[in-house]
Amino acid sequence: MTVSRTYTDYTNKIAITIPDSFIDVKTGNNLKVSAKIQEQIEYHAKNNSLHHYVFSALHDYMKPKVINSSQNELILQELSTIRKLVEKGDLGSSHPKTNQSKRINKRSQLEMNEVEDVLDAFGG
Amino acid sequence: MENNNFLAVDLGNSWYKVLAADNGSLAEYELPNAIALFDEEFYEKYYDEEDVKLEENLIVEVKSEAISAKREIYYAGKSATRQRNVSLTSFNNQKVEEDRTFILLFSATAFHAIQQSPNETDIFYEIDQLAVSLPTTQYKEKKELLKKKLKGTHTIILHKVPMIQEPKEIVVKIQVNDVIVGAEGACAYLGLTRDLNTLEIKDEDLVKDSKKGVIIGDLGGDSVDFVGIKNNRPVASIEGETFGINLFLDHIIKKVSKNELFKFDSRSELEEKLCADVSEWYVEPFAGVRKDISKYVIPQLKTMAIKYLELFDQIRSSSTEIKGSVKYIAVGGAAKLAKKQIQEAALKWNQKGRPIELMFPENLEKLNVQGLLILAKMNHLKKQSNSRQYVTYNR
Repeated sequence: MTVSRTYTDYTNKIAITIPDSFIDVKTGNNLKVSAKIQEQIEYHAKNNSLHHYVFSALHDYMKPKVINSSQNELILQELSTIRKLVEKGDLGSSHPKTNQSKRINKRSQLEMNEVEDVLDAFGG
Repeated sequence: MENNNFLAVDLGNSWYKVLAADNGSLAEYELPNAIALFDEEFYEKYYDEEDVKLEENLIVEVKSEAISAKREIYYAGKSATRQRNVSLTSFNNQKVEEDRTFILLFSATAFHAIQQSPNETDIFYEIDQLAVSLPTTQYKEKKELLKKKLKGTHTIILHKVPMIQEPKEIVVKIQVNDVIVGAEGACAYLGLTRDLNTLEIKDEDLVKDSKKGVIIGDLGGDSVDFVGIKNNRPVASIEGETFGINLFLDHIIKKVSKNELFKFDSRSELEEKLCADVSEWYVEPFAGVRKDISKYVIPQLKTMAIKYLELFDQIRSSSTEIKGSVKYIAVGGAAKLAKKQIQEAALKWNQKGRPIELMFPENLEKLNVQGLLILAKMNHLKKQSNSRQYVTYNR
């Protein structure tokens, strides 16, 4: 086991100790501290911006994941369908319309049950 | 929905609150629960007619099956409060049996109809769905009678309307196609949880809380209505109490009159003062003489607040269904007026080890009438769906 090193940013009163390995709290895996991380921490300690580096890392860590590639593909597919529709000039064609009216009817039915329930309980 | 007229009226003991939705547009009115017989001999004309707001000067005559004194002419609402013979609500009054209910309700409706058709003197106004409220004590037994009295055609003659040259009168024929009655307090829950336009649930959290139980205490003029809500439905076992702010207002009026030589025209005049900032809590018995009335007001509001919380506590321990309630909600105009005193009284309950943590929602004085409008729209939807197989309800 090698001795851990501590980097300090005196201006902002920040100190960070780098061990050999660390536990990824998301997965529980034990990981080695890479040379890249070490290098970055050294740089920011020298630059008195260690806290910015830590917070950037935390921000990145906590941010919800951006759309992955498969979702991207879906969107692109949708876009190409829309483009085809626009090029054909039949945006108001029967296909999407029937779909929509079906949905409205379905929801209205659901709403009617709810409506009757409320009237039964609250009105007379 | 958009081509229909809906009217919701909260028949409060101190104020009538009205929401009118016509062809999608929404109007809101309030008028004090006061009428006075009109006497031509004592009628004083206002100095400057243009300064008088319409609702402040309604002199009406109502021709309707619903009332017994069909030949009388009345001041209604604000104009009535200024008359010497003003009649306010009495303790434990029976709304369905009294002419005043219909005189005021139809006056407010006629007033709204005039707004819809200005410059006309002969107006026909059709209401597709009317929704009105009753206190929980009167709700069960009186709702059918109330519906019967309100359905049909009623004629309102407005004898005095500012800005319109005498001797012109305005005749408003009101046709009520259907009536739905809601219980005060319970309607406030609807107003809290559902959206006025889409009718969908807007407060999911409160609906969730209602699984364990929610108690609403609707503090009004002459009654306080407690409604327990469980699983998004009212629990019927809670009766209204004949207790409200009017009693306390009357005490304040009496004391101010005796000690400061100032007579309030009506409860609503005092209420309006109390609604305003504390800096307005004074009277002027003689020009330039200001008398602070807070020493009469605060003890009365405190007494009322304590009693209100006592009732809350009684109610929550009286019914097994709502014993585990997680939320207590204060609604009604009187709760708004005495909010500070109620919160102070709640602290004392906390020290006693029986905490009542009350929530004061926004617009708590208007929730009942909002709930009524939701009921009106829903009832209309239901009728439409019954007459047609497919509902095309466009929002």
